[in-house]
Amino acid sequence: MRDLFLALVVLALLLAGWFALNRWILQVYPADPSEGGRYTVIRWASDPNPARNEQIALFNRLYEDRRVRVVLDPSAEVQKILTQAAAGGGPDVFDIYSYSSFALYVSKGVLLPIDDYMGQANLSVDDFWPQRRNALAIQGEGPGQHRTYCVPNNVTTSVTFFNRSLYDVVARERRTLGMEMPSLPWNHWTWWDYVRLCQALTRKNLEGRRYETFGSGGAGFGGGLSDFIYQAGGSLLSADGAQVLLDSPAGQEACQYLYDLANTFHVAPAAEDQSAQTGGGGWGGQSILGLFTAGKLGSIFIGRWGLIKVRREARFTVEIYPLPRYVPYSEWERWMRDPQISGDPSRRDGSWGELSAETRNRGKAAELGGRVTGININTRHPEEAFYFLEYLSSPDYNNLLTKDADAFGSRREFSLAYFSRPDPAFPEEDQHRPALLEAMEHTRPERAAAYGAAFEIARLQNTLTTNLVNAAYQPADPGRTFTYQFLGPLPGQPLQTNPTLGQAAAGEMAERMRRELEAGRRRQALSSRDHHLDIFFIALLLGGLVLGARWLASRQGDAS
Amino acid sequence: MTRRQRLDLIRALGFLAPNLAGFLLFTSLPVFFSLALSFFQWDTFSAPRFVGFDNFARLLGDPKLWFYLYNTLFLMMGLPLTIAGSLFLAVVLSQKLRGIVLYRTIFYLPTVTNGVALFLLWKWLYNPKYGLINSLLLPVLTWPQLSLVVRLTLLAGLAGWAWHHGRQALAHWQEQGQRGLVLHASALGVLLLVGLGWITAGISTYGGLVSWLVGRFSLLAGLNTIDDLPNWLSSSVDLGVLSWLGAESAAYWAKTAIVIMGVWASVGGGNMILYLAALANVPEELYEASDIDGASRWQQFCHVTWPMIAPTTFFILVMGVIAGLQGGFEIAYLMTNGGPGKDGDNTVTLGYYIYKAAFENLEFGYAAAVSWFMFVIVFGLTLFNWRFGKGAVHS
Repeated sequence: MRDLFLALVVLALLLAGWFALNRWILQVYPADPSEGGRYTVIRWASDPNPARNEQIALFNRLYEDRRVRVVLDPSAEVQKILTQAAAGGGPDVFDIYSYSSFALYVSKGVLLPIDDYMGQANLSVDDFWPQRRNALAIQGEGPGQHRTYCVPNNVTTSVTFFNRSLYDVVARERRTLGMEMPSLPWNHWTWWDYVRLCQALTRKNLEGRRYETFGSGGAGFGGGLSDFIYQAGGSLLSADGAQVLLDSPAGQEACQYLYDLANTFHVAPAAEDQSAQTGGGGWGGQSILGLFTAGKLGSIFIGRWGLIKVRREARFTVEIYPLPRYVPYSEWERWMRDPQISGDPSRRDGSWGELSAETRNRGKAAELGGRVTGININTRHPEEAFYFLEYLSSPDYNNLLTKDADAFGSRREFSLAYFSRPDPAFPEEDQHRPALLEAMEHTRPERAAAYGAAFEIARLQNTLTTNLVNAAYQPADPGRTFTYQFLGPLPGQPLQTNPTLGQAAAGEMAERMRRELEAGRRRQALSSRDHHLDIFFIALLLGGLVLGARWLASRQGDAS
Repeated sequence: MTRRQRLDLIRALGFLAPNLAGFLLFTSLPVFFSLALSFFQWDTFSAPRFVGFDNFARLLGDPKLWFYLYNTLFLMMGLPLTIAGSLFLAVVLSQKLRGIVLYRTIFYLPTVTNGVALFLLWKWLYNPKYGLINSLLLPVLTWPQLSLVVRLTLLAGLAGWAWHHGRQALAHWQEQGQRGLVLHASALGVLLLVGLGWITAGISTYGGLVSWLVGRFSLLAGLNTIDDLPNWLSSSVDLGVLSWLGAESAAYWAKTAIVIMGVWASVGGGNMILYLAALANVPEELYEASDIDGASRWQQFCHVTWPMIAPTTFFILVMGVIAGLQGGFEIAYLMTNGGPGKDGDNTVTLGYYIYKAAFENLEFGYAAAVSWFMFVIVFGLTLFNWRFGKGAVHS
């Protein structure tokens, strides 16, 4: 007995010594942000973007007199937050990165309704960007069913980041070779212009076997495929998320375009490089944005937040333009045949033309993205947590965020105010403003699949993009081809593609998405079978297992 | 029980208590909980609902499950390679070489390195357009004389084999008469014909069916630029078995890429250490005795070393099969996100599927059912190994 007691005492002493070593000598525990309970500490789950430090510091300064402090929890992964919330814990406030996640959180009851707090703070859903409202509140059926859950943290949409220095180098090279250089992007440029420009910016090494630069980053961040479908006048899903509309003509054209960028025109890198998932190495690490800031790409489609990394790392001049707008493939042929149209952008008239004020905005669209922030239903400090949401809606935060280039602030008027006057800190960015504002005007709200299938559908959408870039689809009609006479690498050298490829890809993937949607619907419908008999069989099974194990054990006993 | 015995028991239990409590709390309890859970539908947010055998019924009809089982087994193809590699390394590193400790450390390094760091490193190596692997492969595979060199090497190998075989056939003839010779000669003739045809068809500009066949069956045909090299982790062309034989560069490389990486990472790991220990335990007398009998190094390895270290091989095999069936989650999660493929799940393994079902789709009951399905397979294979593997081990 004495030995045991002694052992326990030694163990306790060791543990106490270890704690003391850490606490007072090595001081490995971080300082207590509550300062012994003087402050209420709110944990904010977001991402480790370096801008978060300043954003938190400003909050802590502004709410010093209310004795509230925010600390960062540097990951807001959906699985993590759901698991923590199911166990009754989790961060006090957390960022939500897509409408799908928002819908999932609401359906699981993880978000705290904030209507009362909003009323007290004189805030309303209508104060924010109108396109963003879908991911803030749920519109119930009856009176009093409307619930607000979130405020936007930032809003973003894809624009074109353009490597102007590369353009200048290539233009000089081509001039010495006596070759024509496609014109710079402009506010109303089209898919067709984009391809021509990217072809010039895609360069191979001297043997022509390796790529030095690619003109386009391909689908890249943001919607990618969704943007293209919206531009072509369709959408991936119906507004309620219950229907897959991918195999509409618009979806087929968008698929074809994505395919052609990588495989017909060879202006975009491999799917692996185009993926936003290329991540790793911290916030904004190795990704398509990394390839761009390394000068390997002529252009990428990305939100304004890409500027955070560009400001720090890009050693070349970056210009920003809206996404190229859609023009039907059928129109390409006409443009290519008519040198007046193909040579001079200002002369492109006709149904998809440039000159008339009514038609110049046709084919412009992009999906709205960004983060919204909500309060965990499990928080012990709902009131203090709402201070943080109030702060996110304040002009102070909006200005800080917009200045840091973390996309746009949550409220339109504050963003417009920032963009209406030049920022002396970043004079080179003044010229971006019209394009960015223009892009925001053409955004559409995100859509998410119904029946809890949102993540699977989003994953299938990424898969579709990967497979298009990797040429994983067979054309529906192997006999048909389409020749791009003037888009060949050299004038007069034709490029061929099969337009039924987009049709086949869209059809195939739409079918898979429908199956997934149906599976989700079936899972949600509870099984109506009577399960009482199963209990009997389970008991039988367990009894059999126990008896079998005993029999085995007895046999072993006999054998030995 | 005397007082003394009771005291001993209490003491023993006291010392065992921390471990026992941990085992009960974090292993046994979850195991039984998951068994119970497999009969429920539970998303952790609402109360669990009893669904009887529904989860298991769904499991058996889930086509994805069988595909993921196939993926898991595919990734386990690395296991024999790993065992062979580890043994080879152990044999080399058990020699008396200068700086042997340094070599051993170097080969053990991947094992002590953080897995995540390795996966991200390999992701860059596998990058299709800028990665090191494709950059190194490009000049080799597009070297115009490569095909010729490969074929000439094969031709030389075939000629050597025919020479060896022919001499044996002659010896057989002297022993057994004409029947043996005819049998050997015809087998030899067919093999030589096919081999020579295949090899020479690529060298000459021989047209027609033969060269078409050769083109289909040559992995090297039509390689010209970096676009023709495999996309590795994002390869997703689903052409069935033909894509292996044909020259489709983008086909099916994702799983193979993971196998290659897995072999690299584990060849110098724990298995090598186990083999080193086993080799050190082989009695020197056996080698001396076989030396006296005139055995060559290779014969010594086959008839002394290999049987003597068989228990270690058996242990590695059993543990490798268990780990392989459970594994694949980290690699797929970090390197491919489960993709590529038409459904973006060409590298999803059973372990990953359990994670997806539980934490992505919040179907904890179904995830538990899949884990019990996996347990049955692991248990069955281990019993199989035990029953039939033991016979191969000399004790």
